Amino acid sequence: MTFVMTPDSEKRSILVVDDNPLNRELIAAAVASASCRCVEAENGKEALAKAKTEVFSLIFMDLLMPGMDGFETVRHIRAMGIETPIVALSALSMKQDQERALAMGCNAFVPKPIDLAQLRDIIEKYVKREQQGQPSKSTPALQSVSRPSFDFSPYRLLVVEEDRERSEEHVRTMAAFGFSVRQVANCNEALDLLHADPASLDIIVSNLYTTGIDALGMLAMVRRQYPRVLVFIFTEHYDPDMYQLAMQQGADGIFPAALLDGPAIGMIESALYRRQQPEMTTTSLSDQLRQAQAQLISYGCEPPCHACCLAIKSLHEAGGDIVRCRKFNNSGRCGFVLADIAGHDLASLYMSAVFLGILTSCWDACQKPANLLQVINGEFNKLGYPKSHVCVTAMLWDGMRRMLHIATAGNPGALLYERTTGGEFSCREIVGGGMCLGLLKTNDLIGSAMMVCPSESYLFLFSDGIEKETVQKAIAADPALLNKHRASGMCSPILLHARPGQQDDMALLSFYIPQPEPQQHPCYSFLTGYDGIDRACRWASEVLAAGKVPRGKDFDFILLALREALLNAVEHGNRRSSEAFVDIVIHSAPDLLVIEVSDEGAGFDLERCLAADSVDGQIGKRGVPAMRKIADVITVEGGTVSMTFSGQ
Amino acid sequence: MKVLLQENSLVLQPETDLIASKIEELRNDVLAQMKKHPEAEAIVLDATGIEIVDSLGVNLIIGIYRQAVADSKSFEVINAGSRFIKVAQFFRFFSLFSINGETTA
Repeated sequence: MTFVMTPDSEKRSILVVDDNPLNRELIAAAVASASCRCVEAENGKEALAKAKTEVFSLIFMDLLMPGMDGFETVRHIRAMGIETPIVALSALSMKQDQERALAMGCNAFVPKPIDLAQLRDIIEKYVKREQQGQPSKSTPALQSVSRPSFDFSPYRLLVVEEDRERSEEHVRTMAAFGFSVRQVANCNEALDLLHADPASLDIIVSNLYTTGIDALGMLAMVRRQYPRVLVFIFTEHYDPDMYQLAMQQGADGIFPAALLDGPAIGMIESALYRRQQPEMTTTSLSDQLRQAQAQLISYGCEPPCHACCLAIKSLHEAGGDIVRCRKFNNSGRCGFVLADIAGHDLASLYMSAVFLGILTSCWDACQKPANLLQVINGEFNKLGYPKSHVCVTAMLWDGMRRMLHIATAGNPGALLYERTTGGEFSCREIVGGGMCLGLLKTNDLIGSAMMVCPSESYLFLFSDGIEKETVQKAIAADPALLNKHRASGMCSPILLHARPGQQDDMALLSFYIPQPEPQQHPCYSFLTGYDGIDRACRWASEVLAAGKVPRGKDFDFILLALREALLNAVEHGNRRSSEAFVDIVIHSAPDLLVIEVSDEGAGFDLERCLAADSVDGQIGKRGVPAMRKIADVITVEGGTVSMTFSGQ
Repeated sequence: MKVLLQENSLVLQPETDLIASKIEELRNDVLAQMKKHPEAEAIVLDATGIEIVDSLGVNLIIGIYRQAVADSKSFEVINAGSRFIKVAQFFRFFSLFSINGETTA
């Protein structure tokens, strides 16, 4: 490959993410030799901040990094709508690691140690392809919207946290996004700073509980005396009552501390954006609002998990249409929300931000669609914007049991096309309706349904700009649509049949339920309960006894680790709810065993649990110290704990 | 659970594994027996019937040990099988009290 020397400003940029400075140096040399500009990041958070503010032609991603690992970082980057090719570099050589990296959104996987010539080939492949104008990645089925960069550097942010270690971590996170950051230990000190120089701060991000005055007390004083200062509060856990109280008292946002490095930034960005609104000219306001609303759209997992197949199409100009999907665990538990925020004024923009804020902070803890809509309705009623409202359909898909839970508020419900035994499709209408959120003070007018969906079914969700007859007519006109065995490509032909001239309120979500793959790995499910743990362990011991224990590993200890993971799922993940399932999947290969335990909870901070280590009180630490001692690798992804045991 | 009072020792012999599904009943029984026999100078856990111990079982054993220490009594485990010994080593019980069985501490 021949590269032409170009000035730095014109060079293509390549982001290198690796915690090892020697590796970064090596890759930087390969990048420089390809006449590209190298930007380095030593961890996932720094990488996200840089990916958010700069366009790269290629990203090299180390998978094993402290804190946010490469898998998680890639997932975040894809969720931000960034389609830059990502090449994973890792010492992980197992096939499933490679598969996981690709599933998370990497384009290629290169095992370490790194071969310089191979690196050059990769740069040539991707950068040259981009120079030739080819898309660096096949166009995804899902419409993606890139977020424009937001410059946080003019804003002075104060972190209020007593725990020194966590405070340092939050400061690093915020600094990585570009804020000018200071820190104090408690709210009294924060107020002292403001009293001494009211112009010294723009944003306060505070732990709810600090010694002396707490964050709510500080909030009241800041609102009275320094109304221009934005106040965000974080808590250890989601607490609906506390969150409502904080919003009532005028907090600009409240979220669990674990979201500080991701969704919370979006919340801060929205608040800063709102603060800038008065400076807009009247003519640009509408466009900017639409643009801002469009930025709030996200299609979640990409590529979608294999439990289902999802495609979405909305009219380009339809600001306010929001689609979010969320993978809750590895056993096929996903959530989808399709919403339309009425209007294109400031109030509707604010409601969009609040809506997404609630989704990001509450969804994990509130996976029941009807309950989620009730929480959102409660928050909207507190906002008191009677002219603004939201139509929403929320859906939970339990892929393991092929069970669909759906709740609607103001939306037209859904259509389910099921394949009959004769091979034809029958159409079932799922009643929607209910009242739009934000219009009604009570929560009892939300429609909800629960059903088992057979394989090869299609589900169509649509906003109120589309009538169900439109979908039915489109499918009747072209029955071959239903034989695609995928969701992508379904929406556009159907929208062609929609009302001519319709310019808004049209979002269609197509959801395909594939045939279950032949069960390659033993799996077991049980409803939460201690007896279930015993049964599951007996099942697992039979599976393991069939020669699946890697060399050098102890059968009893593997069962002990499994038992601890199941206890964690029952006690913490499912909070002993007898209606919640625990799923186990055992993957095995010669000298390799991976056990996945999934629950219906929100997952947990593995690093924090690993930091705790003592003989007793194991269950208080979710059994993680014991699991970690036995397994070679333990990972947590949503409600799934994976333990890897390798042969020696 | 079998209970024996031998000389000055209160011997507790659970007849099940020390696992989550059994632990609540066992805990209540153990506490009741310790309260019923304040004169015992030693608490002995007979592990004859115990093969599996999970973290709730670990908490129970540690709890009995701590209660014994708080009451100025000694505590030991006897008749431990090989699987119990493995778990005891894993959770470092040997640093707290003696365990006698197939492998002696």
